[in-house]
Amino acid sequence: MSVYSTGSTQRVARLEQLLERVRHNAALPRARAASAVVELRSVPGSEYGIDEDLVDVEVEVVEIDVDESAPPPVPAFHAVQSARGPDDFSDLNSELPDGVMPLNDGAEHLPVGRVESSSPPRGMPSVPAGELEIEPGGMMFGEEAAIPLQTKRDSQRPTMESEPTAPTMEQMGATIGLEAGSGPGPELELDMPPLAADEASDLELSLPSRGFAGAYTDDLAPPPSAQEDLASFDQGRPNFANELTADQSAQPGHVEHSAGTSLSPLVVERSALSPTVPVAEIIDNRPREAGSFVSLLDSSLSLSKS
Amino acid sequence: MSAAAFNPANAFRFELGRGQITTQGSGPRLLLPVDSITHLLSGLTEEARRDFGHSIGTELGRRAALGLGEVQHASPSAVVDHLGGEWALMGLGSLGMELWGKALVLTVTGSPFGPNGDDFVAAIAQGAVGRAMGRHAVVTPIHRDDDRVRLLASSVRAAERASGLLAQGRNYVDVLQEINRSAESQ
Repeated sequence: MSVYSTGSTQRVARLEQLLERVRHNAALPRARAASAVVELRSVPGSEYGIDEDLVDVEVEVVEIDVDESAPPPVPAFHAVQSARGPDDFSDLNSELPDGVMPLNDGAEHLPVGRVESSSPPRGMPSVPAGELEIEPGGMMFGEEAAIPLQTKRDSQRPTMESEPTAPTMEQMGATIGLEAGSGPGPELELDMPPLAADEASDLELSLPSRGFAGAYTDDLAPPPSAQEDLASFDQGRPNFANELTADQSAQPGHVEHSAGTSLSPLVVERSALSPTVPVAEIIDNRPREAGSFVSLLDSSLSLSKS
Repeated sequence: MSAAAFNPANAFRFELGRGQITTQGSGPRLLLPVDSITHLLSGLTEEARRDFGHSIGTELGRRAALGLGEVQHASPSAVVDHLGGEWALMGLGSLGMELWGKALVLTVTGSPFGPNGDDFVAAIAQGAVGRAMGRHAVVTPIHRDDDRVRLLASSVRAAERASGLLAQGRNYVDVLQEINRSAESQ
């Protein structure tokens, strides 16, 4: 535990440096691809629960460094041995960040592991063991894309070319940054010509506020045709004054003189009744109305008595 | 002193719970279809129809006299007002009055019984006038136009003379002139 607590800052910095390097390498042009299966086996009896577990890591090597001055490659087994010596593992374990399982914990003299080249996945060519090189301290559990395996070009060995059926880097879980396109930016072409500023402002309408929902304002001006509409409506109906005059002349109760040759009867008739006003009203404005009804009745009864 | 104007306010009282209609100062009333009354009148004799009309008019005149107060001094306008008011409340039409010389003519406009019911209307008017005025006047239909009937209120003799003249085809105006002329000659 003290391994994880001490020098964590340095480990983090170093891991970040490694990650940067992986990203940098992934961004480089891919001349050819190769794949390999790296089988890691932890120390038997380790307390981290991966004893006897084989971890197959499929690695597609995308980085090909053309370095003619580099020393000739060494076989993979020897590279592993040199990279994963007890000393190297102790160094590696000291660089592990939190949460990363160390490969060797307290068993420095035991075989710490082996790196083998196994048969590649179907559809992928096998990779010569001599082309693999594992950088010291670069192999860790929990880092798939950051496994720093590199192959160096050996002009004398056959070059491995990736086949179309080979899995891509995305399929293998690697994160690949896409390069920005070099072409012109996309343009949207509209059939409508762009609106001018004043035209666009005409299309803007303000919604009525909540206070006017279902209400109206009495300060609204009448429509311009309101006067004409009122005039046309009045023309379509008879004049009210004329109506009233006609009604009054037709009402009973007016004093009329009959067309008798010698008699001009006094007509007393009731006016129109209304449910809220007195039912009957005598309209008889003649000042010569003499006597009472009884006297008039008596006069009428006196006719032809003899 | 002139009588108060006719006031039809609360003239009727509809007691829906009891299913009764009453008027002020009167007993229960009925709202009957006009067709039913017309059918009833068609089956009555002339005398029975007259008596039926008199009974209706008597009640009408009694109520009008109550409104008029001093009937002997009531003006023609007051009589027409009250008598016509009660007349209208019974749905018998609009009552009016014409004075042809000395001849007093009542007019009824809008009678629900139509021309065939003018005799019945005249009987109602006779009962009303007799009850309200305390005079025995004979009311006789002398003229009918589209919607109005003229009823002469006279003595029995004048009524018989007018009926004789109308039967001769004389105009109602001529009849009234003749009646007045004969009265002047006396």
